[in-house]
This record gives sequence, structure tokens and C-alpha cells, in this order.
Amino acid sequence: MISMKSAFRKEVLRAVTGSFGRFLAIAAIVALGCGFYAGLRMTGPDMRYAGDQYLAGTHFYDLDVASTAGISDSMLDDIRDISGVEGVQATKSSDVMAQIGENQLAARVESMDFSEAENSEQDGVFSVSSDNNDYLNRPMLASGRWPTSDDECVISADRIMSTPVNLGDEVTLLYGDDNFDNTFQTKTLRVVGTIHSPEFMSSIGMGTTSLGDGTIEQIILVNPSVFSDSYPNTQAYVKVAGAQNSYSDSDAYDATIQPVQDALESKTDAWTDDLRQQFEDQVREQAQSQMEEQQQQALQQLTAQGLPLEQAQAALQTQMQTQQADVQAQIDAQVDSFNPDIYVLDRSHNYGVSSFKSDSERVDHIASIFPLVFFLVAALVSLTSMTRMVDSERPLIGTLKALGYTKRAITMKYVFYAALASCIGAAVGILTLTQFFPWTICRAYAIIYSVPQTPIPLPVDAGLAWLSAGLGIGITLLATWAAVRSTLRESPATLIVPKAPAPGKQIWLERFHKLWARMSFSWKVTWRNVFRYKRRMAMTVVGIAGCTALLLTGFGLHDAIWDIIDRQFGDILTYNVVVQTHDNLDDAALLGVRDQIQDTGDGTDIVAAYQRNMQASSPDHDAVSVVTYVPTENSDMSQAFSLRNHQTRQQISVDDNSVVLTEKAARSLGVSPGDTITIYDLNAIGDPVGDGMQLTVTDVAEYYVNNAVFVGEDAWRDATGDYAHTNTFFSKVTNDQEQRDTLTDDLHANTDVSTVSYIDETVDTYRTMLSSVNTIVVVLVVSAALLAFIVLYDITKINVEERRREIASLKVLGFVPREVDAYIFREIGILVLIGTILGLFLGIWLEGFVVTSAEVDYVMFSREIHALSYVWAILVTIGFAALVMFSMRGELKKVDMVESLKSVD
Amino acid sequence: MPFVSFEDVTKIYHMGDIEVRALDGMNFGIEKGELAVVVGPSGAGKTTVLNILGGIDTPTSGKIQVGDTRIDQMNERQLTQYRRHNVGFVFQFYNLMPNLTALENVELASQICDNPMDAAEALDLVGLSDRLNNFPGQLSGGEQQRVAIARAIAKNPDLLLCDEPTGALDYETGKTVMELLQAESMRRGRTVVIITHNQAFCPVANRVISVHGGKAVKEDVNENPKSASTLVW
Repeated sequence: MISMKSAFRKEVLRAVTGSFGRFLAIAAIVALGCGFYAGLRMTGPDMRYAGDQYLAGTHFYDLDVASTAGISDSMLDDIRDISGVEGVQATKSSDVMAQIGENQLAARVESMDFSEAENSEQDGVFSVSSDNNDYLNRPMLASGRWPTSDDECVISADRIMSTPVNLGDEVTLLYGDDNFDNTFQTKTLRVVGTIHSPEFMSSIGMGTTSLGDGTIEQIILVNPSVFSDSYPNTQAYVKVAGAQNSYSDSDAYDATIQPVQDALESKTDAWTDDLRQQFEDQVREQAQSQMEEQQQQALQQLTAQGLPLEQAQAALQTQMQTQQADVQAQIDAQVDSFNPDIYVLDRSHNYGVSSFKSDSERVDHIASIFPLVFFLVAALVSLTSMTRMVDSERPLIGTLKALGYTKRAITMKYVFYAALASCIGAAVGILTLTQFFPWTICRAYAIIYSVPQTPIPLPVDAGLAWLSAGLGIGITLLATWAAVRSTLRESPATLIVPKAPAPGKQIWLERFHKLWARMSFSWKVTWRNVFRYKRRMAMTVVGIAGCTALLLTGFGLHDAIWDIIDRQFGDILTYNVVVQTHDNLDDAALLGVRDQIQDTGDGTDIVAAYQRNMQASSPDHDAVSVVTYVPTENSDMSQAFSLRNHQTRQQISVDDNSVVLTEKAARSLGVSPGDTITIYDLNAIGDPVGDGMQLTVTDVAEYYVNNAVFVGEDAWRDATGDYAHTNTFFSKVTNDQEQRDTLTDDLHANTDVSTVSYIDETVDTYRTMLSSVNTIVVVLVVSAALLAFIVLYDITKINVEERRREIASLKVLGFVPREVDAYIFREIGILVLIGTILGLFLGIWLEGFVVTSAEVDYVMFSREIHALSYVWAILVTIGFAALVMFSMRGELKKVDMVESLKSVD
Repeated sequence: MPFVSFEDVTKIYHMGDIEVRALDGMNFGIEKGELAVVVGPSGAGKTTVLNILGGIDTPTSGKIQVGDTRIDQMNERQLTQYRRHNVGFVFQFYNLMPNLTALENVELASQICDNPMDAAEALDLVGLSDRLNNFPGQLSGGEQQRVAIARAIAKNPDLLLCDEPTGALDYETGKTVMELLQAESMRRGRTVVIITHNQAFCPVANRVISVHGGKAVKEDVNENPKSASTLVW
């Protein structure tokens, strides 16, 4: 062994250069298999890594103490005193409807100390550094500058839902909750800059609110003094010491956070009591001073009437006592109804952070199944290629064996060859694809999230890299060993004699005598050849099936996504504008809005409804958020929502007693018609409150975007005891842009109206958002192409190599090139067809799997693959095959007829 | 004018810098219906003669006529048609398609030409009517060579070219094969050219062309060829 080392090395090297095509095929398939596996598996972690870097670098909070009654200074002191707390930032925030430039939307106004921003420095893509540990959730300036006065603000640069905002635009805070008038000192601001904020990293939704359609669409950061002095801090963001040293998904992180969270939670009761006490003191003080004032007045009155002071006081004494008791009762009642809620929330309550995490987990899910097909094909390619190599070197093996080389030594040559090919393949595949996949997919998600992209080189997870390399190389070596072993078992004597080509035999197809007899001669040949080499047949069929399946998945995914838009906004929603009003308007006000839609906008099919963001739950299933729609004023819901049963296509009408749940919600809740769901109102932070109300589902309707429940007027009254009151109008208005602008202006001028949104704008938003998925489609198609090329190249190459003699003989017999091509390629063509058909089935399954795992929470992807996608998947596969065969025609041409004369070697 | 004629045919191979003159002014002629044997030692150029005559290689210079046609000036497509319709080939190692039955192997050739013999009939002629549905792997060497001959004659070619047809066979089976080839020329008037290094076949031939150093050094016409059944070697 040792003595043959240099000769051995030369021999292996010669094997590599001598059959570079085969070497390349093995390396390429291993590269594809390993790279696909490692690359996809690392994408999710890479996304989370980037998110983590971003959150750590911007000093994102670990815990958020939110209070409905404000955060007092003493609470802040308490928080600071908790051991493990590194920084605390108190913030005022309030949700409002705001007019920004042309748009009216729900926005969150948050206070921020801009001097901190001025004193901080952005370093790297992820990080903002500052000396102040209390400066948290550090935003990055995207354009413009930081505000310097109370009439300036910065807003998020990451909005895609609405038209772009320009620096210098005016922001008007229009209205908000009941306390709106006491919340702000300044209500008109100017945009001086745009920012990326880790607190609002998703541009699809920045959180939920009770205003507008329930989604916060913009954030406005202002000086604290924009808020009234009396408006308390609403949030205390807490940074836990040492937490950012560990990955925010890890147990270590949770372990660091937990003690602080426990400590905070243990204080909430005391804080609630304090707040109540403060409130009571405040109320009592107010009442006391009010009473004293009244008494003083009464006393003055009495003395003015001429009563001596002492008598007057005595006269008031009894009155005072009764009054005192009344006031006390009043105070008690007020204090009793004052129930401040204090929440201690971790990062998972942040909409952006949690949806980014679940998106990354969705990628993990896809990664778990996809690469299997590549490993399978890699094994088959290695097995057939190495078998061919060993077969072609039988005489050499026989000679070596006869010379006394051990089986191990001979095996080593092939194992070494395969190891070299697969190691190179694994290294190249892993190094490139673990960069390419995460980078491409992160880039696609960058449309939705403001998380900066990790600059290349991305970190490579050593464990995963080794696992995938181990799998790829292991499979190849195992296949090689299997191929060599069977040959080595033969005696040297039989080895030196060339191996007879696989003998012909009858195939099962011949048992169908009638069919077989009808077949033309050349087809018989083709069929026999198809079944002649089972292993090669398997490899081709599996490879091509994989290719078709990937293509069908890609095209199907494309269908699934664009169908959402076509069906939801084309078939199901038949209105083109939604006008929301304030709650509880009187009939005259509602009629006013209705008239505006009708007169100014030529609106037809006006549907009045009550709309509310709620949460639905059912036993044993996680709750989902739903939008509840109740038709009011005897409206016909079908004029705005054309609901139908997905399977039967039967129209569903919302009658007085109907409860129609949308499909995805029904699936998530595991309910069908006849089952009962409970729907809850939501509190300020989007958690369900109250006992909820029970509704019995009567129908389930096809629906793609958002979850909704349509409740008939009577059903709603039965559940709540009240008729629903109109707060929304759906209508079909004019398509004339000018007239629309007038309508929008008129409605905005109407103080009863809260939002006006046109469906076209929503459609555009979804188009932008979903276009990111196109990237994945492209990745799938390219991978499919590579797979097909490698497999077909290899199989054709082997076919040609092994049948040189047959090909030469055919040429001598006078076969024209076309006929020679057919002899070799028709058989591959049949295998391609079989593979394509199997691939369609595999693709249907794979597409279903990918669509389900890629689906976003509030969107249902269409499950149907278009007929055209099947056609494309088939055509493209066959196209790839034809291309490979076309390029291999040269190989056939090169086969020299003189070979037919040579002895069999 | 003979049916087959070689006039000053040269063939030069370039192997790197080395120039190999495989044929160096080859001249001979074979009459229609003759059984001709081209004989000579290894490296004499007889395989090159076969290749060029069979239309699987082209000469560097010279004139080759088969029947009315010049094959030395044919392009690749014309050569393919020539092989397809005019030449029947019998190889030393049979070159049967392992995945086709005996019958199908014959059909493989007969289906592509204009005026073929029935495949089963061709196999009957070589005495294999009871092995029609056997695969080559199930046949002995002699039987395989007979299938190959059936395949060649099924095309009804003007010219039957045989490359060491008995080279891989034992004595008895070799003799049977030679009898078949002789019958083709004698009974059916087909021109048969056999390439061999084995002088023992010379007595059964009408014409013996001895080649050496790329030249025909001797051309003997045998007025009374012996029957192949009497052959001894």
C-alpha cells in the first residue's frame, strides 16, 4: 500500500483527467445536494441571526412594561432597582388617525428623546452605539435629519402600504381615543426625516390598534413635549443585563430574562394598588377641594344673608356630613371602576419581531423536505457512474487482482476517486449555496422587513455544513463501495474476460401480445433497452421526476400567490372602496356619509355594516384574529362580498341568522358548519377580554386575505343583546380618478368619516409584498434545470460510452444520424416521459407541502395548480431533456465506425 | 471493367507527427459474383481496404469504383446511403445487438433498406429457423456469426464484406460459416470479399489478393475453387 502510493496517486489523477465528465457529474450532483440542503437549512437561522444582530445592535428592549394607567416615576424607580436591569426607557405613546400628506391612516405616535439620537452613532449595518444604556429601541435615520423642535417629527421609511411620504410633508393628528384632546399639545407636525425602527420592523403591519382597519400603518416619533404634560408615560422598556450576549431564540436568553420578568410581574399588584391609591388620592383631593369650595361658597352666601358665622357653620354641619358621605360613595364608585392593567411583555409581543421569527421558521419547514430529492438523485448518479467506471476497468482490476493486490487496495482507488469528486462537490456546493440561498431569500424578505441584510460572507453553521457534507460524501462513497464490491467478488480470470453487455431478455410488456405485435420494430428495441438497465432507469426517472416536481412546485407557488389577488380582489370582494365612520353615529350623520358616496362618487351597491376587529377561538385550537362584519340597515352583504363555498362553488348569502366563517379561520380553528366558536373583543394590546360570545357557524366561505366572520343581524343581536350599529360602508364608486379624488377630499373633510380606502391600492400593496416569492420560484426553476442537466448528461454519457460498439455497428449498417440518435435517445425520451408523469404527482404533493408551510398567518394561499402550470412543467422538463440530447448528438457523431471492428474490450 | 476496382489508392494516417501510410498505391479488381479473399499479415493494410471498401473510411487519394459508382468522392451522407443499400457487413466479433432477438437483429438491418429479404427467410438460409426468438447471449459463437451473416444478406447487398469472419470461431463452426459465404457467391451471385490473415481460405476463393506494405503484391485467379466443406486448417 505504502509503496504504491505515488503510482497510486498518479493512477487516481489519471482517472480524474481521463473521465473528467464523470468526475464533474458526481461533483456537481453532490454540490447541488449538499449545497441545497445546507443552504436552505441555514437560511432560517441566518434570518434569525440577522434579526438578532439588528435587535442587539439597536438595543432593542427585552421586556416592555405597559400600563393602561400610565407609568409613574416611582414605578420607574422600582424597575431600575431590580437587579439585572441594565437600562430603562420610559416612552409616551398613543394611537391616532393621522393625515400624512395625501393619506389618512392609523398611526402610533411615540415620544423620543432626539438628543440621544444626535449623540449616538450608527456603526455597521446593524448597530447604533451610544453611551447611554437607557437609550433603547434605537432607530436609524434613513433620510433627512432628527427633529429639533416640537413641530417636527420623523416617520418610518418602511411603509409600502401607502404612497411614499416626502420630507417636508405635513402631519396632522386628527383624532384618537376618548382622551385625544388631552393627549397632545401639538397636533400639526412636519416630517423632517425617515427612519428604520427595530420596534416596527415589519412593513406589513406595525401592530394592532382599535382605530381604522385595525392595523397601525405608520409610526410618528416626536419630542416628549408634543404630548401634554399631564399625559403619563405609557411604556417602560427594559433592557436586561447580559441578555444580548445570547441568541434571542436560545434558552440562555430566556434564562437571563426570566428573573427580571418574574421580579417585574411580582410588582404589578403593588403597582396597581399604588396607581389606584394615587387615583383615589387624586379623586379625593379633587372632591375635597370641590366640597370645600362649595362650603366656602355656601358659608359666604349664608353670611351674606346676615347669618352670624357660627350659626352658619352649625347650619352647614349636618349638610356637610351627608355631603361627605355622598362624596365618599362617589369616590368609592370611581375607584372601583378604575382598574389599571399592567402588562409585562417580552419581545414576542412585538408584531415585527414575532412575524419575522415565524417567517424564518416557515423557511426552516420548507428546508426540511426539499433537499431529499437531491440526495436521492446524488446517490443514484454516483452509483451508476461508479458502476460504469468499475465495469470499464474490469480487465485492469482483474490484472491488479492477479498481481496480488488486495481487494482493499483496489477498492481504495475508486473510493478515493469518488471521495475526491464528492469532497470537491460538497465544499463548492456548501460554500456557494450557503451564501446564495440565505442571501437571496433574505433579500426577498427585505421587501417586508427592515432587518438589514447580513453582508456576505454569511456565517456558515459548522454543524450543518458537516452534516450535509457527511451525507453527500457518505452516500457517494457507499454507492461506490457497493459498485466496486460486486465486481471484486469475481475471480481475476473472469475479470480479465470482458464483461458481456447486459443480456437481452423478454420484458413484461411482451406479455401483452396484441400490443407488442402492433409495435413497430424500433419501438420494441427501445422498450427492451428501457428495461435493460434498471439502475439507470431508476436514476433517470427519479432525476426527471425531481426536476418536474420542482418546476411544478415553482409554477404552482406562483399560481397560489397570484390567485390570492385575482380571487380575493377580483371574485370575492366586489366593492372598490371602504369608508369607515366613527362608532355610534346618529342616522342623519350616517345618511350624510351615504349621500356623499352616492352623489360625489356615483357609488352603487352601497352596503352598510358594522365592522370590528376581534379574536375567535374554539376548544383545543389556537385563537385567530378575525374581522367581524355584521350587515346593518338591511343591507345585502352579497353586493360587496361574493361569498361561495370553495368546493361546490355555491353562493353563500349572509342572512339574518347566518354566521359565515372564512376558510382559513375555519381550518385554523378546526370547525365546520354546525360547530360553535367564541369571539372576543380585544384590549389595547390586542389580547382578548371578557367572556366572549358564542356563535354557531352556518357556512364556511372561500376567502384568501385576512380571517373574517360574517354575522347576520339577528344572530348578532342574539349573541350581544344589541343590534349592530353601522360604522362602515362598502360601495362601488366611479373609476374616474379625478372624481375619486374629489370624493376622497369630501369624505376626509367630513369629520364623521375615519378612513377611506380604495381596493386598488390594497391590491398594489399585495402585489409588491408577494413579488418576493417570485425569487423562490426562480431558485426552484434553476435548481430543477441543474438537476435535469446533471442527470441527463450523465445518463446519456454512460449510454453512449457503454454502447459505442452498438452505435458503431448501427452506423456501419447504414443507419443515418437521425436513426442512430433515435436508437439512443428514444429510450431516454421514454424515461423522461415516465419521470415527468411521476414528477407531476410528486410535484402536486410537494407544492401542497410548500404552500402550506409557506403560508402566512392571515393569508390563505390557493391550493389549485393551474392547468397551464402543468403544461409548463412538462414542456420545460422536456425542453431541458431535448437540450441535453441535442448537445449530446456530437458525442454520437464522434463514435468511430472502426470501433465496430475492434475486439471487445 | 471489374465490379470492384481499386486504382492507386493511398491512405495516410497522421498519428501526431508520425505519418503512417496504410495504403500506398493499392490496385486490384474483383469481378461480380466472385468470392475474393484479401490476405496478408498484420499491418499490411487489409483492414484499411475493408474500411474504405465498406464506406466507413475514406481514402487520401486514388479511385475506387463499386459497380457504377465512385465511392472515393462520396460525402458522409452518400456513404451512409451506400452502406445502407449496397454493403452487407460481417464482423469478426459479430456485433449483434445484445438486446434484440436473432430475428430482431436481422430486422434491424432489413427494415432500413429498399429491397430486403424477409428476416425469417434469411435466418432460415443460415439454418437458424428454430432460434428466431433467442437473444445473442443464448446463442453459441457460430450461431451468432450466422445471425450476423443473415443480417448482412437480408439487405440483399451487392457486396458482402467480411472481416475475419471465422476469427473468433472454432474449426468446425468456422467451416460452416465459410460454406455459407461461399454459397452466397456461388448460388446467389453475390460479390463476397473476405479479409483474413489465414492463408488456408485461399483455395475456396475465386480470387486471392495478397497485400503487403499497403500494396497488392499478388493477385491470383482460381479457376476451380474448392468447396468450403473440404477446407482444412
